[in-house]
Amino acid sequence: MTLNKLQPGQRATLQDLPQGLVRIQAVRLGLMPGTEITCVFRVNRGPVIISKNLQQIAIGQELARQITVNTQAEEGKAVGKTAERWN
Amino acid sequence: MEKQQRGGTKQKRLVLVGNPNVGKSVVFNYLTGMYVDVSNFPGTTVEIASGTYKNYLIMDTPGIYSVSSFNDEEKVARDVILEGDILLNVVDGVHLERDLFLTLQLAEMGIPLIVAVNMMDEVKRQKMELDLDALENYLGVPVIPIIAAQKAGLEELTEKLHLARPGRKSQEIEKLMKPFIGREISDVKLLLALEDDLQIDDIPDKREEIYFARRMHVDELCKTVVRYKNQKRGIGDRIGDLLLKPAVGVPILFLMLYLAYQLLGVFVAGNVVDYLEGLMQSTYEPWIQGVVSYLVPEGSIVAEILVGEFGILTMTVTYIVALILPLVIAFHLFLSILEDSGYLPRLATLLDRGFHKIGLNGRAVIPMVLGFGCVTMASISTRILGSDRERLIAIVLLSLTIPCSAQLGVIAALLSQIGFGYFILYVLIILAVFLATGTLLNRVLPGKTTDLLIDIPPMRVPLIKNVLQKTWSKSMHFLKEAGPIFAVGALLIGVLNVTGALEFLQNLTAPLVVSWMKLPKEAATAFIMGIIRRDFGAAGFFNMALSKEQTLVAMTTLTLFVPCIASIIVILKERGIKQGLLVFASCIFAAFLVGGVLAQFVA
Repeated sequence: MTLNKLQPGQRATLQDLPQGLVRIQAVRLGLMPGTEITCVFRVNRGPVIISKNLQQIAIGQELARQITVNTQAEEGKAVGKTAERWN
Repeated sequence: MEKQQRGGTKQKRLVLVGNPNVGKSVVFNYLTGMYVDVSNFPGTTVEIASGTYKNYLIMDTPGIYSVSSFNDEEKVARDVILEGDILLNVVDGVHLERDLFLTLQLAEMGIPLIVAVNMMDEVKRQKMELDLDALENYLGVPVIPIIAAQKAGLEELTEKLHLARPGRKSQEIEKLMKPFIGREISDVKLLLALEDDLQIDDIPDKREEIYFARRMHVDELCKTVVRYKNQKRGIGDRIGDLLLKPAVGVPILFLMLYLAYQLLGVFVAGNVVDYLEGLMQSTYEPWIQGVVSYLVPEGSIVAEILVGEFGILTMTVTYIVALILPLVIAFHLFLSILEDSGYLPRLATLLDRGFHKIGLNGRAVIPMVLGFGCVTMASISTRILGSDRERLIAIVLLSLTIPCSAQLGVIAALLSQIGFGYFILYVLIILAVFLATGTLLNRVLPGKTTDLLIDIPPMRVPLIKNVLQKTWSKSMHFLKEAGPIFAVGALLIGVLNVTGALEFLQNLTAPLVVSWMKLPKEAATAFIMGIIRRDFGAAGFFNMALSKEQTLVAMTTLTLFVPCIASIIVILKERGIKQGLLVFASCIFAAFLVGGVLAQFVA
């Protein structure tokens, strides 16, 4: 799934980021494939705010759509209803 | 950079490097004391402060996330670092994950490095533990904990400056550098070339590889260095989270706008400006007129241009000192507080979605806020936007729809005389034009809006000293850049006036104003005057007997009409003559179109 679909509180691992300048900027800010993040908040149809430990980063909606993530549910670590509710 | 200060003594260049808002300037001020030289880096608008400490020449650099070449700030930092003998890297102890990316890069450059870990009080408060010995071991350079705001640890830092040494390179970097060893090239240049930030012949671009490896090392390093005893977040963080929620953030935004209006619009643009203007007109202007009358005969063309109605030495000086300066300082003060407290990035996030509809992203909040202070200043600040397309959209919106505070004061006074309903109507019309123009440009201009990707720093109570310093440096910088432009603008208007061209323009627009907009003939004069000083235009309407409807039409047209001569020049400079003129032609057209249609409606 993509980053914009995460619910507040949900944890995920970044899978892939778009190419180009934005990829470099993301890496500098601490985001690259394999980075574990938590969705903090979503502005309705706006940016997604994620946290990585104590750091918070705002990602525009369009960009968030282009970032793929693995949720724990997808990795099979979480089970049952909680996971369903997220999806 | 010029090397003027290098001659004679063996002064070492110590370059301060760090991410934005890590307290770098506090360390800089501690080291350099009062004698600071702020200069513009050649070819950019980026300022570099320098000063001396013992036998070191201390050079500050803009806050950056890594040494690179994506924008002016980064290029300037890169060039200053290339000239450095010692690097002093200030990092935020609470945000090592973010800050160490730059630190690792600096360590790999082969230039002697020393690292100061700031905000150790905050680290403690956040119940974090930092293993700085482990960090020191990994980097291979001295690491000193400091609390810059309390001056703690700074003495130790200065005592250990001489211990700075080149840091450790990761295996990946060693491997990538290996084929080029033996060449006449410094490590720092080789590293930057491999990262595609310097162009050197056959050195390949390995940026992504290097960045990924570096990021991985930072994350690993943080696992050993940083220990979170308790993930509980402070009250500042909770306030910060609330500000991102529209239900809280939007009312707070309106509260901030109201405060800004009271402080900037009413107090500064009204009281302070009135007082200063009166003072200048009663003391300075007669004095300079007296001085000039000794040198040039009164009533001559030269005298008219120098000290006449729109004189360079009379009107322009009064305008800059009594009106522009207080407004610019007040706006920068306001913006610096918002910036240092961490409110601004949250506001940018909150408004991002709305800005996207008009082809901008959340970062455009800065030029838009500044526009209400001075459109000239705001036009210059559009340089921070991510793409040329965004800069164009922002400039069009600024020059068409945003009334600067000089104008806003008079407009508000006139509209409040005719009733609150008309004021609301005025706001709605301008807002509609703003949204329509932005949406249209977003549709027709090729390309796409860049996405928001910003770090949201923790909320902090801003340090007064830092806020004042920032305000001062930004305001002086603006004055240096825009002062001559205001003078050239006044000169131009003075020439138009004495040659009769001004009158010709007024007569040319008069029929349109009378028949199409149903305003008295003198309104044409007021519109043209608005180009000289936006508040002149609005003030001209005070003496006209206008109906309520006419006032509304006049104020709407005036707002949409081209901005003042100084903004015009800045916009021509930023956008080029062809595009600049097109922007103005469109503004004039839109102003008369909207004003006229409105006149037909309300008549």
